[in-house]
Amino acid sequence: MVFRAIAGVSLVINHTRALNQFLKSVQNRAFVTAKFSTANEDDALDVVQDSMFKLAQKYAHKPEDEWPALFQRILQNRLKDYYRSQKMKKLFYFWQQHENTESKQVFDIASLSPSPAQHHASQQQKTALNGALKKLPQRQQEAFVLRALWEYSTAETANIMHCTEGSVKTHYSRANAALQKHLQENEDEKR
Amino acid sequence: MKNDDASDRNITQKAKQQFDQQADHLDEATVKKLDNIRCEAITAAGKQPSLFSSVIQQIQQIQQVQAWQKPAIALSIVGLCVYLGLVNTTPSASLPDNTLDMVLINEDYDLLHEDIEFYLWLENQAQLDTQQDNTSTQSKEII
Repeated sequence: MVFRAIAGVSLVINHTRALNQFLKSVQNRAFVTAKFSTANEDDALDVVQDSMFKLAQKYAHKPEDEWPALFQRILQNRLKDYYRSQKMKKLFYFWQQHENTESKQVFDIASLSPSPAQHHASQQQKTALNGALKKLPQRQQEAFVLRALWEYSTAETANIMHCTEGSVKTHYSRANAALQKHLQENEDEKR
Repeated sequence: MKNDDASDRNITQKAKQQFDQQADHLDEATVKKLDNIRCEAITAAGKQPSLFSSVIQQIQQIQQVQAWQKPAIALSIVGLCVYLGLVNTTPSASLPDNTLDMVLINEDYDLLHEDIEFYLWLENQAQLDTQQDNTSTQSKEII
């Protein structure tokens, strides 16, 4: 009985350790993903916090191999909630839109790299890519982030996005095409 | 088509590089904030009664099954022993030959056992009568 209790306690400790390790491995990338979508550091931190809490409180008992997909699903749902709340805010405070877009641009340029002066050319490219990514429809952005940035397979992305693999492929290819188009337009404007 | 694929790959690579670079080079303040958030999440998860309850439940379930199995096994063994004992102790002697007649006649055998003295007396009387008959015939012959 005592051995069983010890085994149970050690199991819980190992589980906690594994959860901590998993959250540590995804926290930075989750933050960057949230920052891509929200364009605000505080909002991104809030989104990551909510996602981590939800995973830890509601899904920690699930098998470890299910955590990445669950975490992504929570993160994407939380970002959707964020978009909805932002839409509502924009509806009520439409006169603040201009102010917000200005602050977004400032954030993008300032936060892309620790040494922006040394990488001026790449900074411009990054800003363009960031801007192009933000212009994408939500589902395309989601598919691109999961497939290209998090390197999930089509099947895994379909599972996270709750859609078919065919839809993921469509969203992803459209996202690629749109990004290419935006970047091309950006280069043409520079010339 | 090949150009499209190559440009797609190029965009993906660029985006991935940028993403990784940003994730790897977050400023210390942000990393600290994220670490704090993670610790809070883990702590909150530990305080939450339902969090690891399923793990504990699983352990309890294993224990419950084991605890439940023991009396079940014991009960089934006892049941088997009782059954075997009953099978061995049941009388295997064959029924008397006139059992069927007794059943078919459907007489009240309890009454028969209760008035057995009467029947014994009746039998004696019958014997006496036959003896008397015999003596009377013998005397008649003599006469």
